[in-house]
Amino acid sequence: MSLRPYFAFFKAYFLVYLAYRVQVILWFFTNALEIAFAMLLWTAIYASSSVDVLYGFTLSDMLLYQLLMTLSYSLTDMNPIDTLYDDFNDGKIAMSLIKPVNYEIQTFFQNLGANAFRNMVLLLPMIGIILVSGLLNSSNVSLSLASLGLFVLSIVMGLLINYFVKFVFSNLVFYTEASFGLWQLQAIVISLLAGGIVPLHFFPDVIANVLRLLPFAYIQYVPVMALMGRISGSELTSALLIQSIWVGVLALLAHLVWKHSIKHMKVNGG
Amino acid sequence: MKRFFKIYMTFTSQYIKRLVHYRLDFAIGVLSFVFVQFSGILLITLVFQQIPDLNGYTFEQMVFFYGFFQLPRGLDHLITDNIWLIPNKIRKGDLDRHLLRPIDPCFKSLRNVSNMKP
Repeated sequence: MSLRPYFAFFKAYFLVYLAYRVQVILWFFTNALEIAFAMLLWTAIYASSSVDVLYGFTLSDMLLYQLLMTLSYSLTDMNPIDTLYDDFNDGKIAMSLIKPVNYEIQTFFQNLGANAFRNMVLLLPMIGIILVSGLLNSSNVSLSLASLGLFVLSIVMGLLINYFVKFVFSNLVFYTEASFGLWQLQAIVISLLAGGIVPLHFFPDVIANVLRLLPFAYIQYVPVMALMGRISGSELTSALLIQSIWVGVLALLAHLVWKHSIKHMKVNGG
Repeated sequence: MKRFFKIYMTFTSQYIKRLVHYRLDFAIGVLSFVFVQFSGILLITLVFQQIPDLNGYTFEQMVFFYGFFQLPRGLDHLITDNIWLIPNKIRKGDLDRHLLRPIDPCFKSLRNVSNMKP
């Protein structure tokens, strides 16, 4: 099977976002504000602490972690629930299903197009901020081609995991027939379990160990920790192995769930 | 003013009817907002396990602040939510329809009721 036709979907979504350029500038400011608030909060927390190291992180480690988490969030962000719900809600999905394209791959490429455009705009400023801030030096992160290559590999698998988890979740749209609650739930569950709100090692050991086995940790947390040199050697090998197993398992699960839900889907109107 | 209030109440009742129609999604939405608040408190709890106070504020005071800042947010969600959906309407060409109505489209958007079936 050729993937060529699907690049049209990729391009279409890319161009849709290109048409609304001001939105991208607003994204940038939203991101910048969020990072600034997080940094101010952590600076205040470390200033109030009697020790310099909290949970094995110094202040500059923590600030770098926040920056890298924002970066990896942007790199792995996919929203199949919006695509699926919009198609379902206005009945377009029925038309898409009778066309000779695979709907699952189509949705993936549409989301990838949106992701690519956002990162085309946001990636350079973010990398710039990370380099200019000097946090790489003060937290002793040594970047090499190998570590960057592993980060890219890990983040690509993270993107796939994020997409498949959300795709499985999105299929619930066909049962609830609304996306508001589901959207809220997936956003908060993923950001909480992926370490977006609190770094995973801040949790009590028992919970942190369970969270490390779940796929959510492999979306952002593992790539970022690998880049920061916190996971290395055989630990990193096994982490990447578990990550690739999750990609396979979730891809299969997403496919099975989709096969099940198109048989039970009811589109009202359209 | 009285007219606006009356219209607002009608819209609200329609809106609630719509929420109840998607019962499962509504329940999931409520559950997820519990999670959102839970994760906010969790962050404060985990941080305060390591430090005695934050710039002189104790844990209890921070939780109070957090709760207090959620109040305007809750009021906003309760009374004036859905204004953020206006850009979507413009993009889809939906706003034209609202502009033809004898009510301010912005006011109408407070409650996102498109098909009125009283």
